[in-house]
Amino acid sequence: MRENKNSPILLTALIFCVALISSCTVVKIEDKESGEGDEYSTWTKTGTGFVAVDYVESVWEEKMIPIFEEEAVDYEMLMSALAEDRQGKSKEYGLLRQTGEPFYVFKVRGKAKVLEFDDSSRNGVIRVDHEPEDGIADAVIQVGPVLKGSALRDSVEFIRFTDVGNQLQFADLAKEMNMRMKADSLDPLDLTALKGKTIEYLGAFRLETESPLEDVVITPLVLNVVED
Amino acid sequence: MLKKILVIALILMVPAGFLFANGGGEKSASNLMVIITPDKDNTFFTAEADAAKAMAESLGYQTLLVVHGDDPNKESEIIDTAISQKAAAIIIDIANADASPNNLRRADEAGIPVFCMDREINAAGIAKAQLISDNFQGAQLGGEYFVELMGEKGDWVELVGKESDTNAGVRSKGFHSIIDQYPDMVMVARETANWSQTEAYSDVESILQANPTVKGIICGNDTMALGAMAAAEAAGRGDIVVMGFDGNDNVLDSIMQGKIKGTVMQPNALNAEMAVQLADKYIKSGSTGMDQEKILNGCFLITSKEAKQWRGFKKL
Repeated sequence: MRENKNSPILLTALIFCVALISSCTVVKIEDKESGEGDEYSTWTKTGTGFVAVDYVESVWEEKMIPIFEEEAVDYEMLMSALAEDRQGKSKEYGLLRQTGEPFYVFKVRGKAKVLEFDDSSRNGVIRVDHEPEDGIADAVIQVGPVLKGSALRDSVEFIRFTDVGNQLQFADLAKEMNMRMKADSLDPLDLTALKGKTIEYLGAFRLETESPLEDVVITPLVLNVVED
Repeated sequence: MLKKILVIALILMVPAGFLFANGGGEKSASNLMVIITPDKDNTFFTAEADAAKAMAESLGYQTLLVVHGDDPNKESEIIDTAISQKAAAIIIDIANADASPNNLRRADEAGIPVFCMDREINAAGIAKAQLISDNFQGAQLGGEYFVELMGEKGDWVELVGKESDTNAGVRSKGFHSIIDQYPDMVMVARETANWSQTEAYSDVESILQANPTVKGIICGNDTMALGAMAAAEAAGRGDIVVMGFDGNDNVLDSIMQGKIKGTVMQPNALNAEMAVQLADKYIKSGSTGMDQEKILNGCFLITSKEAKQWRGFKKL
């Protein structure tokens, strides 16, 4: 008699438990896929999963842009300085990264006329002519839609791998910075109509010790069209 | 009475053991660096072990080289051996990112400092330093070059390494993080060939029969790339773009012969040497002198331009 009375309750409890367990499993898989709270997360700052998009949001306006505004040097000035004294000026203006083969990352600013938008690759670029204008391209800026590399992430001292977690999360951070820049600066622009316009930018590039200066591609942090 | 003496002797021995293991002084009881790597047949790991051994011996240490065969249980036994031998330090390329931390913690708790090279563990505060190969970044470099050689379009195949190895997944994700951004690149097959040359050969043999339009094959390591290239040639498709990963000498030779198009060199000799140097510093001073545990060392893209500059995973 008592058993009969209890059985619907037991059944409900059982269904509830099953539902609870299955919902737990679902959450776990979702977490794993989005990189949140999975067992591979070792974000030392919080002990929880590292979420690149949240991290970028927390540093973008408050740290990244102010640091660039303060530290970025004039692109033209930097390139002629590097052409004269690569080692000395790298030390003076660049941030040395000693991960594997050492390389420098430079933070730059510039105002330039867009000569060409080249989208022959999905890694589209614009070729620009800095002031004083001579009609010859003197810099290349990547504008996507595919954005390569980790120059933005690597350009600032406060971001260190050891604080972030594992290499997937660290790579995710680089990608998220590129995506944030794209959403803020590039997506609002009609890239096909940039030719002939003047832009102002803050950006970064990475330079290996042996790579030629002509191969430099700037990743913008902020890029605006200057209204005439 | 005898029992009492024995107990006292044991009590005295315990801290002594810690003292020796910590290397608390120049006349440490043990001068032994235990160097643990995954495999003694794969040249990638033998080069890593050799680099660590050479550096350790040049710094005056005795060395013991052991392999765990990617087996955390075997790794556990080796750690016990290192503890019982009161090793001065353990230099290790771990078996598994999630299982190994427990093994390493035992060594750390026994006072033996642990230094990781190549693979990273999913835990902080156990190893004194981790010198990690950035496999994800390396895979991205390889992926970018692969896309470039394919002209950003065409049918391609991925050969994945042993599923149990963290780096197999990390590299695959790295490849895809780049290639998937190109909508005209179409993956027609993805198979695991378990790091094996013969499995890669038979996989590619059947994939090419089913998909004659394949233009490129990207591989999670070099041994699979060698198998893939051989199968492509046997099928009269030497034109297929094959990419590897690791930078082993056989693949460097193949690149110089114009067969395999590229690979990704891992900084494994550098990682091994840095791990030993930091261990030495730690043994002598009680600190690595670094404010960070993890150092992520980047990989390099190797094409026909760079292939001749490298041998035995070292830049000439």
